[in-house]
Amino acid sequence: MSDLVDRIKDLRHNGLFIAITVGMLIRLLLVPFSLEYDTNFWAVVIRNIESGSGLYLMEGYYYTPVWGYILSLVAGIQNAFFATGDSSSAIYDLISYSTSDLYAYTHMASSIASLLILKVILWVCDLILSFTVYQLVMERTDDKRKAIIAFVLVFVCPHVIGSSSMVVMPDTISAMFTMLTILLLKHDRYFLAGVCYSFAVWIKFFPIAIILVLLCYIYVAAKGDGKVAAKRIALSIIGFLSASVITFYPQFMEGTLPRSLAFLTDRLVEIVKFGFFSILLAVLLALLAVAVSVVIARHMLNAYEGLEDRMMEYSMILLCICMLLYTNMQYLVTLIPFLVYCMMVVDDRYKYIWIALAVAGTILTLMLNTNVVALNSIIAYTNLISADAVLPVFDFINKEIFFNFSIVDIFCSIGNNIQKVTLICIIPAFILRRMIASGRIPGWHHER
Amino acid sequence: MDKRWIPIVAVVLVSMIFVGEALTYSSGVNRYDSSAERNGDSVDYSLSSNGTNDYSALLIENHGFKRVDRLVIYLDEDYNGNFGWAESLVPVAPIDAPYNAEQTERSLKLRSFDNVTVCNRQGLVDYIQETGADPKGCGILSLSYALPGEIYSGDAHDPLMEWIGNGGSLYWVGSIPGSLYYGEGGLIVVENAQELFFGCSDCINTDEALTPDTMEDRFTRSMCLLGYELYLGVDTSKLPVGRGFRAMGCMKDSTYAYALVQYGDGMIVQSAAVKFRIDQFEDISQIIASGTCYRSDIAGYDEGKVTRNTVSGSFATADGDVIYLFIGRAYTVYGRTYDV
Repeated sequence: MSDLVDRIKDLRHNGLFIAITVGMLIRLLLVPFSLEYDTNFWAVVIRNIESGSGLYLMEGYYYTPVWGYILSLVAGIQNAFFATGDSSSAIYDLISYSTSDLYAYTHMASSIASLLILKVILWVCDLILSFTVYQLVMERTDDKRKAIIAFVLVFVCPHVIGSSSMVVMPDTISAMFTMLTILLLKHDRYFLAGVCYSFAVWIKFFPIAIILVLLCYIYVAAKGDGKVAAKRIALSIIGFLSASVITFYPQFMEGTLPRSLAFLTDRLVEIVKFGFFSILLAVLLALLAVAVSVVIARHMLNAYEGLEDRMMEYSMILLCICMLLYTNMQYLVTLIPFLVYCMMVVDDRYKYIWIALAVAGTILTLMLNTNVVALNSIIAYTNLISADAVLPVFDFINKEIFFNFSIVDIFCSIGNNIQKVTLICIIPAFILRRMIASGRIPGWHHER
Repeated sequence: MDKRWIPIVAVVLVSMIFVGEALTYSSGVNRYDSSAERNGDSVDYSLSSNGTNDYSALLIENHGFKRVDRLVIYLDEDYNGNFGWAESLVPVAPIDAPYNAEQTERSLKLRSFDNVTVCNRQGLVDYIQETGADPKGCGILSLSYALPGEIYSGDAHDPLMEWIGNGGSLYWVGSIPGSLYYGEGGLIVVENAQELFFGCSDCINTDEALTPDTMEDRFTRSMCLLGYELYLGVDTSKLPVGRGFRAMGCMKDSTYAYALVQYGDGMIVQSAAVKFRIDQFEDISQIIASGTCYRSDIAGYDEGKVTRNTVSGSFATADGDVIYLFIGRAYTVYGRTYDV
């Protein structure tokens, strides 16, 4: 018994335990809040599944199937073990939200119970994501302190918390599968790595940006043995393709494959709709990503030293370029683990990037995604706040106070611009770092 | 740190996603059922689900109006080709008509309303001729701005108008009912369409900026209607005295998203829409499947939770009432209407 008490007492000094506890407490506090705009759609998707219509036969789901399958699992758990009732209901007194034409406002409210079940799944993914970074840092540095700090910087990062606990989007799952892919490649599990990479890509497309880096890694890790490298690459591709075929098989059979890829085409249409400069920016960023990929591939193929660090840093740069086009707060979740690894292993000055992104992430989590609409579930499912009390706040924060800008616009603009500028800064910071490291800037030297 | 957790966790996560896939596409995973039986002066109902859902039971008094149990969705084969022309003539909201027809059909089917067919212009003409003798219980959902000239030319004695007058139900989405028809040379405008259909000259709202401020109506809440647009909705205060109507959905003053307006022995149901969306076809399906008409009143209402069991209840009832039982309130997963 005293042994058990001692072990519990020891937990107070266990950094990992404290980090998990604090991170989970923050997440628990956020349970009743969410960006209703998206969670309401998850309720529609669950309804479509429960009515036997699959994912795409009825209106309401616009992503690739993987996230839909996870929602189906959530609904299955809910139906088998809980008595939560429906996932969503309407607050008729807040109909002005829906008619306001303001982004993300809706008069629908997700039930707190179903939010909790859905969020717990995402929190588990947050935990696994943080552990993958912990593992990578630990394996590379053999420094437990560093690994714990890396864990903390991912687990309590505002983007990660905001994505899984407020926006309730699956970006954390995509990031988790991306990091698992890297760990599995490191540990010579090529088929499984291909499977995980397929899920990472099909949940959110950003990880596709690092494909060349991953292929180069496999090749160089085979120490230039072309036959071994080809076998490993083939195994990975087979893993990717078989998982993709199984994933899309139902849509292929029911003829809804184009609908299951609508997210891609919709985004392209959106870019075209925004006009010439939007198209130009997209084309330039795509060209830049391809050009940087080629340069990076050449660098990787010519260097056996520090291969893992290069893979992580180059991946970060490529993801960063892709995210310049769409800087929605939750998208950055895929970037964060790479940034944290680079900060802990490659160059600790990347911490300034993390800090700036954390500031932006906090502002955006609070303002863009979760102003008063985040209270919908509390209004609908508790007696704590009434719709009447919230409506004046809604009017106030959305009233134009400075030219055409409301309080929400101003804060969102600040958050978005900090985020965008920080992302842009990563690229020169990386170039500068490489130049300093290679001694091309005389008088500058940095020791970790 | 032990590395074995990595492939184990990866395999577990991958397996969970495939379990989710199996749950999504396996038939019979979610099962719902219901029953309603007349027992003297009351009706006993039951609802069951093998999951966890909210349910509603709605007893509707229709005062002798035969509810629609056969529906034709009218798709105009030239909808896209003539849209620009139509838009230049009358107020029209763009609809992805084939897609919305498909969605409405699916939405109706999960409410156990299976007698739905989709037709083109000639199909509509044939349907009016086929059911013209007794159109009671028959419905048309028009997803076009123009009617075939063979059945409608803006005259009260046209086959379509007589069909409605004899008890048919016309559900209209996306424009002013009867404002266009296909004549020689193409689209022809009917200037007095509102007068003809609703008995008033300007009861349809054509102000896109008009937004609702409430959804107070009891039907709206009981049937969980979700649409929140008023463009092309009906201002019921302008309907002539004596014309029966039942309005529901969101509203501003006396303009409603959905208006069920009497025409002879039948009715015209006008749906507001700037852009026909999930809310609208859910609402339209709810209105059609529940058997609601312009004379409807709510005679009884129950709601609650059904979790892996069967719930039951009863209402005092009279002849001619219908009971609409549905599971999944805001987003219905199952529904069925019974004549009691």
